[in-house]
Amino acid sequence: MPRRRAAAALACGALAATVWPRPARAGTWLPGPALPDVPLLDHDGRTQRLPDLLRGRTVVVSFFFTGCATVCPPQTALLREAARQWQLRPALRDVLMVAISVDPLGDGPAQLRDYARRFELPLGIAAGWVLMTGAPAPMRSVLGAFDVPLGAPDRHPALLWLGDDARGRWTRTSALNPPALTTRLLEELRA
Amino acid sequence: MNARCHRGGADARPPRLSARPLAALQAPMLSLLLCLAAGASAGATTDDDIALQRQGRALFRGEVPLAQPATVQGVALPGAACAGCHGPRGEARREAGIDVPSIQWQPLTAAREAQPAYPDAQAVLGAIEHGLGRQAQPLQAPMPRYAFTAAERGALLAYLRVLGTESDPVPGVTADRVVVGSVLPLTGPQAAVGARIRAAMAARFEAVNAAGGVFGRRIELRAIDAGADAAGGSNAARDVLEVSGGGLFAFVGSLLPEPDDALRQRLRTHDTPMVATLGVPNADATMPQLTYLLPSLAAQVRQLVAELARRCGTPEGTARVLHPAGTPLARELATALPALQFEPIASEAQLDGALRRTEPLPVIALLPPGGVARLRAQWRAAGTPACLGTLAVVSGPQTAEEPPFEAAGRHRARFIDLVALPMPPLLDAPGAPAGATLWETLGDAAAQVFAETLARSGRGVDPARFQRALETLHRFQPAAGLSLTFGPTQRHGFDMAYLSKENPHALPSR
Repeated sequence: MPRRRAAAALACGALAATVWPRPARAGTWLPGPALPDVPLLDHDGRTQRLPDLLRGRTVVVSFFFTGCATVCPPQTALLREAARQWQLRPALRDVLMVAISVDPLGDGPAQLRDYARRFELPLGIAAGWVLMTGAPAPMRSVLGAFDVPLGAPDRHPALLWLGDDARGRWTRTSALNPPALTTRLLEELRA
Repeated sequence: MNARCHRGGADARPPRLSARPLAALQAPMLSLLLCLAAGASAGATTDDDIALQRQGRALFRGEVPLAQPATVQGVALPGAACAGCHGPRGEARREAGIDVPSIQWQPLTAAREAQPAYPDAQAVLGAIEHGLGRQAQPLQAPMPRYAFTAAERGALLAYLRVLGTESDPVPGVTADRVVVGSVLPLTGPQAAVGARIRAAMAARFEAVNAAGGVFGRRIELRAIDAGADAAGGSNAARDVLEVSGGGLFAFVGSLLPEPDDALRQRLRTHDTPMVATLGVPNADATMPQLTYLLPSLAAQVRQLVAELARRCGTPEGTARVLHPAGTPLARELATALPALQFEPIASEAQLDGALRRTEPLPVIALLPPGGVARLRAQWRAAGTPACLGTLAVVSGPQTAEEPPFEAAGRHRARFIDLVALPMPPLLDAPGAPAGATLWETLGDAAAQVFAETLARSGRGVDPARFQRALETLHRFQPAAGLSLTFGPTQRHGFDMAYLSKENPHALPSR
């Protein structure tokens, strides 16, 4: 419990004077997103359904688009560094990063693979990263479940959803936090 | 005139003139004084100043790496540069819910929303290097922290002072002209093709220029020789960007199927559009700067598979692909279309063996013309039902010499023989060399795509505006019967068409 409080306080400190939503209050977790069972496409063009993909897993869900030049590169660099740190911790080695495009019209699987190459992301469920896109209708319902509007890629929030499906725990935090903070929040989810 | 003088004067104001006595002057006199100051400054601009600004611009745009990569929250951001977030002109913008302020010198050194100006260059550097904003308030992520060398610091500051002003022109664009390049084979066996494309583009641009140009700017075409070998085009384009840097606004109508990785990187860092490229690449283009007129080979195969399934009544997405082993195209297709059965064919014996198999699947033959002719002849002799698809850009159109299969077949077996064309077919003018009309039409279409996009980009054209304008080209018709569409994911303008051996007329697919 004290750890959770410390992490949440750290989060609030880091976010002071920004417009990003704050993470869950200490001692409480948010309900998970009500994910629709609709087909999406992963970076290999394979059909994926988020309820299946997330089942039983600890996940970090982020939002981006491949044409994004401002927030996405630093966000992706921070997440890549965080993922590198998780690989060094046995308890977090299986965390899955799910990056969902907010621009399904602009991002097909080929664009997602290009983006991953540019940022040297290890792709695949086993490697810990899945990039997702899909047809506009299912994407609208999936993004809506995460409170992300479709149709205005440049307004997508720099926000992460952190969830542990087995424990039914979710929280949100800024995607621009230091990796150590995201790691702390994940450890609390798994505690 | 006054506004222009004010803009020039803000940077050039002599340091000893404090703001107070200037403010006390009458406005006309102030304008005159600032004009004089600007004139004096322009006269004093040396080649060294310009060289320093160029170095600064290269750092600003990430065209050359920094000695130390920037960091955000302590994590290195290799390749990060100011232009990534602030754009090539440093104008205010908004993305991902974050307001990115203008970092042009005039707004930086003016108060903003009740916050005081950055008082001097040191304060501006404090923001970039130490994250101390107006009134020394910390700048939040995603603003990175930079650790410059003394040389980098000097160059970047020199450039920031002219960023977005008339002293910082868009590469290749001046008040009265836009310079574009086209990488074409001007020597070697393909020289005649290059000459035709060049002439068609030049004629179109000349017509546009004769009608007053685009926003008063003439379009100037520089043809760049790709030479005879495959790597020549990429090397030539890269060299041009390297040497003249900002000398070109865009490449237009280049005959360059596959820009190599080094050229792609260079296009990305210079943000140089390579528009309406004429080659046919193996896979669809994905980078924003690169567009083609014709569909990729992978897209052509994908559409051919779907069309054959429809016409032959076979399950969707299935086909046997006969192809020479080990080619880059085969590797690309196996990745892009893993559901297909790939059968490498390295000899006539292998081809004959493949033909003896009798799966009821369409066959897509990506073989040289001779291989496809042998295949057709064998099937014709056997008189068995067959369903064949070929690509004109791989195996040739093969329409004139051979009789329709049905007429020759002894049993009049059903034979569907589709030749995919990367665009609706064109008839050569009487007496013209084979293909002349094709290359001239493509060159003209490329020039029209550029001129139309330039017009839609507005007077203040830059690569970003050009890119957005290109994506508004929807069913653009450069010639009767030809329709081009570009979009964020559609980087290839023409749709496919088919020639059918059952019906020798061209059948547009959509």
